[in-house]
Amino acid sequence: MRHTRSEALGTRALIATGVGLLAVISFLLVMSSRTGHEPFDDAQGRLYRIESLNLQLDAALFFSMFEIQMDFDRITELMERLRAATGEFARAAPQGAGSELETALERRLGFIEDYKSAQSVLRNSRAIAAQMFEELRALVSPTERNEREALFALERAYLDFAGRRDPFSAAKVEEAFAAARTMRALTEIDQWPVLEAHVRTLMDYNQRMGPIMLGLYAVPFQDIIRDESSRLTAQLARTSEQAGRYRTALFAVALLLLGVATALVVKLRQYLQMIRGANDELESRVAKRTEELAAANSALVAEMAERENVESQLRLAQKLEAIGQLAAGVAHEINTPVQYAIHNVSFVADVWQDLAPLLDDYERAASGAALDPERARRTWAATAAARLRTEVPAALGQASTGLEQISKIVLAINNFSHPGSEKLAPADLNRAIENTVTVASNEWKYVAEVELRLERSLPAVPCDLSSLNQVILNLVVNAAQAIAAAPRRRSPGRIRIATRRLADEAEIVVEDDGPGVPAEIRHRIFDPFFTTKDVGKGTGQGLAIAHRIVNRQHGGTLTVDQGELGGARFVIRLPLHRVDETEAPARELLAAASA
Amino acid sequence: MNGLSAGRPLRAAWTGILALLAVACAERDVPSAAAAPPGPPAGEFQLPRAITPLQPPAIDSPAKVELGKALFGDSRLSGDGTVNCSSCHDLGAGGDDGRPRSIGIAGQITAVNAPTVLNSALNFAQFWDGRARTLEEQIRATVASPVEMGGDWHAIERALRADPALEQRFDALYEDGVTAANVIDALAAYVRALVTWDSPFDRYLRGDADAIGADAKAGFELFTRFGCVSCHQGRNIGGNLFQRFGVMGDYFATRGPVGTADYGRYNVTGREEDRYTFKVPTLRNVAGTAPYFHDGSTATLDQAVRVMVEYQLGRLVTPEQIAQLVAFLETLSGEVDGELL
Repeated sequence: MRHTRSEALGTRALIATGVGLLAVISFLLVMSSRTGHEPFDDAQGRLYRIESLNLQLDAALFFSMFEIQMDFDRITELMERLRAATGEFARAAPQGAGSELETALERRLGFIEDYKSAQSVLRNSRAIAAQMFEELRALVSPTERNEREALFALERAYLDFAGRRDPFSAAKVEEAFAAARTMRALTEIDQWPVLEAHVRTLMDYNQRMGPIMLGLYAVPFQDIIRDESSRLTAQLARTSEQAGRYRTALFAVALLLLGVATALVVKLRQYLQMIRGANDELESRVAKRTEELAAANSALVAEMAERENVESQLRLAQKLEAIGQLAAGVAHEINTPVQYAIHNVSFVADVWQDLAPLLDDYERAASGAALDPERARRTWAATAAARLRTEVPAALGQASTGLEQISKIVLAINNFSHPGSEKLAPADLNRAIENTVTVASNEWKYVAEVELRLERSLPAVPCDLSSLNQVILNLVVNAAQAIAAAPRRRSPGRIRIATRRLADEAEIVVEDDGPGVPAEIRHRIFDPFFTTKDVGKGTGQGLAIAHRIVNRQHGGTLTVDQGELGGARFVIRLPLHRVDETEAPARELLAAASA
Repeated sequence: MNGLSAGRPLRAAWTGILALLAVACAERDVPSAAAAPPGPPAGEFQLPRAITPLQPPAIDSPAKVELGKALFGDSRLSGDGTVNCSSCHDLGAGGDDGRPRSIGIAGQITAVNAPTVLNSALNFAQFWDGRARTLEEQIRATVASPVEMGGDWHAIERALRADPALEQRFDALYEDGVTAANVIDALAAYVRALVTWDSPFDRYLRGDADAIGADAKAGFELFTRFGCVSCHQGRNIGGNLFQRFGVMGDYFATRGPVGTADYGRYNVTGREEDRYTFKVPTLRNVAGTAPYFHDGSTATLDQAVRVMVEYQLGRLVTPEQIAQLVAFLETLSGEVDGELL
């Protein structure tokens, strides 16, 4: 059986492993298919688009600078498209990657706006300057050679500057202006201030254009695109590498799964064989088991009967033991009043001897002889008649008391040892307790005082008095023994027995001021053969039987706890009304058997 | 036998791998192909021109344009229900209001001259200082401007939703019905349709030599030769760059006291070099949009040309040349599709 279970366990583990491996494979399959191409392609596609638009913008700027493209529509359109594409990339890109690009683009587009403004001014001024040079050349007469020379020098310097745009050529233009300004024939022509203004605007805007173009190409827009692109490529490589690793793992796990599957198939075949064998085995095993059960059942019944037998014997033994224990005490109890009676009766007998001379004298006098007063006086003095008058009745009274005491004890013993009938009959618990305390007085009177707090209004309680007497005796004896076993002390111990009526129960409390029952053994105290007394002193049956009597026979409860006096407190609760007291034990027995 | 059965799956595997590789390569080529520049049409080379003719607007949703048209004249878009878009952008009067500066709600005077709404979608930025990059931004700001329309977008949404017929039109076009964004979207769709693509000059540029008169042709030549075209170029003859007002002379010194509105782009960028810089306006329909410039200080086109020649071109000009330039500028006036009015 154990073998089969471990087999099943092994198979279950195999199946679990297989399912686990399948899950791992699914995971790996998904992970290995995540090559990162899709987001990469999207992002890279957007970057390509941005780069392409940027290159187109560069080309458009080139065409504009060289005045091949005369309008800014193309540049403006590309700027807008670039802005849109970059915005799109930034929205799709992971944190930060796009905003850097957007910032760079805005800087770049800012420079381009400046370029457009400057370029349009330059274009205007170049065109007008060229026209002014032309018109001035036409207006300066060929005879004014100096003026013509100065105009040509200025135009050369201007053209030189337009080509080089450096400070040296700018200085040359200034020199040419300075030379020309002295010639009124030239400067008084209307076109001259227009020319000068535009040449100066040109020089001014050329200087402005420098930083614009430098700035425009210093913005690392293209670099950021490249960086972003290579970052994406690296990321793709990483994800691809990762996917590769997942594929390797996938392969390995698949192999494992194959192994598990093979093992499962082998197991399955073994199982089929086993099931076939097990089927036959099972039937015989069932038969065997049925047999075993039947045997166990009859054994149980026998055991129960045996137990019942032993228990009744034990109860008898306990009763005998209790009576035996009492015998010495009872003998002593009876002995004292007997001695008392004997002593008093002997005293009366002695006194009666003294009475004889007096009676003789009185007899003689009655027969007519004269009573000699002297003799009568002597005789009276010898008989101590005064003692007769007082002491004899007292002695007889005392003898009578002793005999009464004996009679009471005998009656108590009689009551106590009444065999009982197992039948519960209403009885006066208070009286039973008084009897028991009396009977057991030899057990307690040297070590403790017994305090009875009996509720007089306690109604008759249905009980088996002899059994209950035994219980109370047992508790009182235990209490006395507990007090006696405790370390010596000056004052006598205390045993308190109380009765009271509860709602539906009568309660008997027996408590002492002995050392008490430690909490850790309270639950065992009612177990048969459990004893704390020295070997040979107790059988360990007393409380077990008391418990049985109270709980089983009377349907009550016997519990133990710590009492007010500091020692053990035994509480007996007996139901005041019992419906079917006789059947209870049988029912309990049945319940115990079926459990 | 063994070798044969082992060989087949191997070959199949290789074929599969090659096929996968091919697919992978093809997939990776897709984005770069998509990103390729849409180059100029092959086999066609045109001499670059500074001014290009307009194309008719591409209208995606005529229904949106219709809705935008309705909203354009809807005074519920203003704070007190007295002003609408067409208050300042009268399509019957060149797309502006003919005032030096416009009158917003409660009779407030706006800071600058209202530019024409015609072809404004073709401008690279909106407002004189270019503070709005898109029409949508401009519409949102203008409606909400306390001086201009003083509208509250939440209140506008509520007011328009209270109009079942209008709400129905929105619901038909937009999943989320009447929202500020959808109002703006419809308005922008309408404004994008307001393109005067068939002006005489456009027809001239497209090859109709008789579309404009001799004076206008002479004016176009001057326009090009004088350098006006340096800034006023492209399809919108302006509207695609910023320029300093007074490159060749101090316009503001002559005009008089300077206010914040005169700082132009500086108000947006805070850069000193942007002070007195404005968006170069389109010259399309310029003949119908007097008075001129951001401050509306110049009443006639003739005067406006003189101001430009003096402060931007810094050159000499004859009254005859001015007249020719004006004649040219007048050919820039076109009309929008009658259904849009």
